[in-house]
Amino acid sequence: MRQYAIKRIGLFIPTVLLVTVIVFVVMRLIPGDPALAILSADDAGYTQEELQLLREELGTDRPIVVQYVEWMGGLLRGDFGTSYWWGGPVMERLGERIPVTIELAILGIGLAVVCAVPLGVLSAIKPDSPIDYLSRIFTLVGISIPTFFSGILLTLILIRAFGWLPPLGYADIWEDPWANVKQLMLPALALGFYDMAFIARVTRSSMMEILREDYMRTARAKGLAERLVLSRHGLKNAVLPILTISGWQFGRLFGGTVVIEKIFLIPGVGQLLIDAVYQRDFPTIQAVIVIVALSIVAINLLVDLLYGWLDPRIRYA
Amino acid sequence: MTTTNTGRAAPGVAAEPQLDVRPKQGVVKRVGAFCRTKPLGAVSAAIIILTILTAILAPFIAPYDPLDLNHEPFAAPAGDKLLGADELGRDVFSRIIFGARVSMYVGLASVIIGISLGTIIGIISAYVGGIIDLAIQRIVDALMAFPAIIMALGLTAVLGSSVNNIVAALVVILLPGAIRVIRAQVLSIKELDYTLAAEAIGARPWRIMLRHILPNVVASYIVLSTITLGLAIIIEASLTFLGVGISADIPTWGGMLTEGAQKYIRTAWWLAVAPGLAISIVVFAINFLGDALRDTLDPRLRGR
Repeated sequence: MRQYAIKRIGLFIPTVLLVTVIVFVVMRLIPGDPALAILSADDAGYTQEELQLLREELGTDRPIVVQYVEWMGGLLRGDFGTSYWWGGPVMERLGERIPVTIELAILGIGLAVVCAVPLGVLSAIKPDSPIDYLSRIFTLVGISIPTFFSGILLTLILIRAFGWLPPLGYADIWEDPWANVKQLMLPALALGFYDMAFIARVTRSSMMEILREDYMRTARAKGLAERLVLSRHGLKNAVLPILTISGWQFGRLFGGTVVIEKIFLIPGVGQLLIDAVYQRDFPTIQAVIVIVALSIVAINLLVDLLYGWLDPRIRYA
Repeated sequence: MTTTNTGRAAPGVAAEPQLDVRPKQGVVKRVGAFCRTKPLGAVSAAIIILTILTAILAPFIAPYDPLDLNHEPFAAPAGDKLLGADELGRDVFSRIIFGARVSMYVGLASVIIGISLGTIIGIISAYVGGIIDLAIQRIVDALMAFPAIIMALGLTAVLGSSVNNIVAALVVILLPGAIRVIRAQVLSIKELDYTLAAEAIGARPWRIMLRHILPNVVASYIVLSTITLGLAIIIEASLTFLGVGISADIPTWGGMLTEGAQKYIRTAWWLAVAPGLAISIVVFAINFLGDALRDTLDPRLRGR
C-alpha cells in the first residue's frame, strides 16, 4: 500500500504543476495588454505614466517566468491577486462562494448515488424485466439531457403539475437550514440527474459482471439466502467501480454547477466565474479555474488511494 | 465522455452476441447487418442524418425566415406555426431548423478535428514511447482535470466567442480523452504479431504507424467520434445558454433556451421545451448510435 501511495502521489505532483502552467499560459494568450484594457475600460483617458505605473503594479512588465513564480507563490499563500473589476482581493469573494458550491455538489452527488445504486442493482438482478428496461431507458435519456435543460424541465414540471415553485436564491445554511435545504433540493436534483443515469449504468454493468462470478454460485450453493448473497457477496464487490466513478463524477459536477447556479440564481463559484467572464476579470477567471482543476486532481488522488486501500488487487497491478 | 477509466474498473466484455465483422465484407452488407442486429441504432443513425440534412437544407425546409417577425408575439403552437412564436413573433419551428446549423457545424467540426488530432497524437505517443509518451501522458492527465464547461468558459473568455473559436475550445476539450483511448489501443496493437513482423522485415516506424496501426484504430475512431459528438453539441449549447457563446443574432438551440426559458416559462412554455427537446433528441440518438456502434465495431471500448 505504501509503495502504491507513493507512486500515486508521485504522479500527483507533476499533474498539479502542469495544471497551474496550463492555466497560466492560457490566460496569457489574451490578445493585448491587460493594463491597457483596464485603462481604456473607462472613458476618462490615461497618460503614458499611468499605463507604465499600472503595468508595474500588475507585474506585467516583468518576464513571464517571474510572473509565473510570483503567481504560484501567491497561490500557496492563498493570494489570488486583485480583481480587475472591483479592485479587491479575488480570494475575498471566492471564499464566500466556495462553501455554497461544495454544498450543492455534495447534495447533487448524494442524491445521484442514493437513487442510482438501487436502480442499477435491481436492473442487474432482473435483466430484461420491465424494471430493467425502464431503468435502461432512463439511463440513456438521462445522459442525453443537458444539465441546463433538466433544470428548466424540472421547474416547468413543478409549475405545470403543482403550480408551485421553490423560492429561488440562497439562504445561508447556518442561519436558516430548512430554507437552505428547500432551496437547494431542486438544483441538486437537476445537477445530479446526469450522474444518476451514469452511475446507474455503471452499477448495472458492474453488478452483472459480479453475478457471473464463481463465488456467487458458491454462496448460493451453500444455502445462503438470496438477499445475503446479493448484499454480502454481490454489492460489496460491485461497489468498487461505483465508488471510483462517483468520485470522478463528483469532480466533474463542478462543471455542471456553473449552469445550475445560473438557472437557480445560487451565488456560488459558477456564478462568480460567469460574471468574471462577462466582465473580462481575468484574475478571477484564473483563480476559479485553477481552484476547480486542483480540487479535481486532489479528489482523483483520494479516490485512487481509497480504491487501492479497499482493493488490494489494484496495488499490485 | 468518461474516458478517465484507465481499465482498472473496466467491466469485462459482456457475453453478448457480436456481429462478425470480417474485413472482406462489403460496406452494403455490413450496413444491412448493422440494421438487422441493432434496429434502434439504425433509427438513431437515421435521426442524425436527417438532422444534418435539415441543417444543410434549412433555407428550403423552414416555413418562415427565422429572423422575421411573422406572427403575434407569444402565439401558441397551432396549424401554420407548429411550435408557436417567440417574444418577438419569430417562428420557433423555423428557428429550430436553422439552429441545427450551428449545433451540427460546431459538433462535427470539433469532433472531426479533435478526434483526428487525438488519434495521431495517441498513435505517436504509444508507438514512440519513452520520454515523449511520458510527457504527453502527463499533459493529458493535467488537461483531464478541467471540467469541460469550465475549460470552455476560460478558453472563450480568452479567445473570444466566434463560432470557430468555440470549435477551437472544443478541440482542446476533446483531445485528452481521445489521446488516452487511442494510446491504450495502440499499446496492445504494437505487441501483436503483424506489427512485430513488419518491424522484423525492416519497415520504417512511420510506415508501421500508417499501414499497420492506423487501420486498426479506425473502429475506435468512429466510435469515439460518435460518442463525443453529443458532448460537443451539449457544451456549445451550454456556452450559448450561459450567454458567452455564439451571438444572439444567429438562431441557436442554446440561445433560444436562454431567452425563452427563464423569462417566459410560466406563460410560453414552448419557448423552452422546443429547443431543449431538439438538443435532447439529437444527443439521445447520438448516444444510442454510439452504443450500438461500439458493441458492433469495438467491444473492447465497453465501459469506457
